[in-house]
Amino acid sequence: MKRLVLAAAAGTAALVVATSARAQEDRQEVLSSHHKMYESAQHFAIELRFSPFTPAVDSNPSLHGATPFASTLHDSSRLMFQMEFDWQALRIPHFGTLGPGIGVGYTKMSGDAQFVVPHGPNQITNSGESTSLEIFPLYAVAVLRADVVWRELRVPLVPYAKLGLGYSIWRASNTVGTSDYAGQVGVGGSLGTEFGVGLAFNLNTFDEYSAKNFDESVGVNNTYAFAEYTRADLDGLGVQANPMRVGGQSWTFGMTVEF
Amino acid sequence: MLRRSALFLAFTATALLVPSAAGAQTISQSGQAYPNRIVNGTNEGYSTRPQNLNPLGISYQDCISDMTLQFSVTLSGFTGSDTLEVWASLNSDCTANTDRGIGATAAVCWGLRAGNIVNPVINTPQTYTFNVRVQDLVGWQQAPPAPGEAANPPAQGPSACSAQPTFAAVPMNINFLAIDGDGNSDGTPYQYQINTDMVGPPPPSGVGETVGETIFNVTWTANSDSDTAGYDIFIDPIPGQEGSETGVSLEAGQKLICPAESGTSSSDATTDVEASTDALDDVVDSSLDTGAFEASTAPLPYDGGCYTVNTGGVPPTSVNGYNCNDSILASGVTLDGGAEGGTTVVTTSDEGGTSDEAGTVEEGSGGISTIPSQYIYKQNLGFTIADKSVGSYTIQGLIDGVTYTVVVASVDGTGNIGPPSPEVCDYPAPVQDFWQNYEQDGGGAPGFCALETIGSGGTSLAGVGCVLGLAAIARRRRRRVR
Repeated sequence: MKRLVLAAAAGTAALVVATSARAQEDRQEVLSSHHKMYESAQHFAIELRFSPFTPAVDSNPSLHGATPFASTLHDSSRLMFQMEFDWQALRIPHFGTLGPGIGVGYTKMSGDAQFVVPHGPNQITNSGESTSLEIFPLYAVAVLRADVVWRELRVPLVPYAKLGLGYSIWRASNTVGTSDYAGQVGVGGSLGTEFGVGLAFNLNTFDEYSAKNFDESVGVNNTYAFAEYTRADLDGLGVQANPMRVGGQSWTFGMTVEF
Repeated sequence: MLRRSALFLAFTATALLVPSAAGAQTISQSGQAYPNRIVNGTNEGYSTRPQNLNPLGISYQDCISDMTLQFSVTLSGFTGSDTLEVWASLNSDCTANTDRGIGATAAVCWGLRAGNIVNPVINTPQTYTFNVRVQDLVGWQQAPPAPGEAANPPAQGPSACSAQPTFAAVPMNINFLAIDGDGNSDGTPYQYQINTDMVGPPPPSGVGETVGETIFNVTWTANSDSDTAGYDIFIDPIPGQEGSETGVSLEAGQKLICPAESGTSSSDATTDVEASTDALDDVVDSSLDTGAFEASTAPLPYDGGCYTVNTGGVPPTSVNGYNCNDSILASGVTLDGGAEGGTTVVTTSDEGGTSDEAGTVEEGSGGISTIPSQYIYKQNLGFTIADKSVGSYTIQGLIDGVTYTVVVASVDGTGNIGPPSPEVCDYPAPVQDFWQNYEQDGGGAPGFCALETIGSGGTSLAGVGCVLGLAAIARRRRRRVR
């Protein structure tokens, strides 16, 4: 519950501060625009995110050490794809930007359902029926990007951090459709915290002339490649009782454009 | 000047008179552009198949049902010495005498026995009806009749439906000719072109199977030939009619299931092995209202409602695991007329032992499946996998423990079902998927709507949406019997 309050507070603070600081930022933009005529206004960022991901399903204490995920779907990582949209609502002079961001994603892991008893003359255990778990992560975070080293020192590195709430919708299914066992349908949602810290490398440095043209033509200020440590602890935050732990920790890689 | 005028008038008169004297006969279609189709005396209209199955062409079924094509044509300009004749060919328009076998050692056209009209005296256009038997049309395509009988060849029978040499479609011409008193074609003939295809494509190769709980997956290597348009799946026993097996005999690891109405309950074979599990028994027994029969290894003369299930012991074996010997699907052999080498004459029979089809078979090539159509999966729904690139299908809604045998046949664009693939057989059995493992290990409730507990307790819009969403999912969910 404490983490819920902290995460919510972080997101709320980002919104409130961003809103109250909006007027001030506009004034700064006017001033800065006189100084850097070649740079368009920068308010938003979009990230395309890819990560090898394994949900921490088997970490649920209610399983008492059982590993239904590993035994059925195996522990190998699957690709998760995500998109994130950030509003860089506040520019903190000589530091960076702060603002809220939202993200959505998708990943799916599949395996063969096991026969209850070994099957056929060859006594095989893997059936021809697939079983899978789909996860649709949703999250809202406060994003702090320290782009001062790039903007003022021209070092093309931007460290950043994210903190907020995550809610992942998931669906367990088999060849026929959504799984169902003992009256429990295999669809649910898990609430928790979302945290990330990463380092973005500004690609503009490779070709500043093209980057400038890109800005003038479509308004993209910066393009980054990033690596991020991401952690989602979807344990219910005290609101849900033992939801499926479809969060986890992973290294996320991708591209960011600021515009 | 006068002389030149006289020459001009003479030339003009000649130009006008000569054509009318040499070719005034004209034959044209009357009414609809396509012939009506007569089957067993019933006019089926000009189309008997869906638009995606070459409804205006000729299929094996059209031929074997002795369909007649009824043409309506209008004759005009005929004189008392002319005759209207109907000829068929693969490529020719049959206007040349040699094509009709006159003055030649071989004919490329053959008469269609459509009721030639001899010496029609027509002052005004007049409409006639001509009936062309499909078997007479397609039966001579490989070997036209001898010149002496080309104009009036003997009638063809069902064997004509096996005359097509390969599974590629064969376009044919039906020519309506005006023949003058000297036996020459005259005037303007009418030609109707029709696409015939009486051989289904070859079966897919590499047919395999896997099973799960109440499902049977069939896989195959998709055909690459241009004739294949899709696939039909045959299955025995027919899903939903598992209890119609007759003369079932129990083997080790099998169990006989009969409806409770029979006043009996299920029982294992005397040779049933101990490996039979309670789990499977529970599934089988709880999914059906069953009765008991005393065990026996001899064929049991039950004629309805009974069927065997595999209980996890030692089912029928073969080198690759299963011994598929379904008599119905195995007898579903193919007809492939004109196949050279490697052909055999086969006869198929229905379940009652009645012979119903015969023909030559060329294994590995095109042909026609003669498996009774009720064994096509979802036959009542007209089910066909209408994509030749597909290489798998999952049959759902089966009964765990019942051994099903499946074959796959390719279907062409005319609706011909080709010869069946080798059989695959297996029995669906209970499985444990991830969700079941998770729940059995103590995973707990999904918690999809737990956020509602944050609110004041009233019915929120989110709550309504959540309930509706779960209801929709519940409708789709798989019903597992545990």
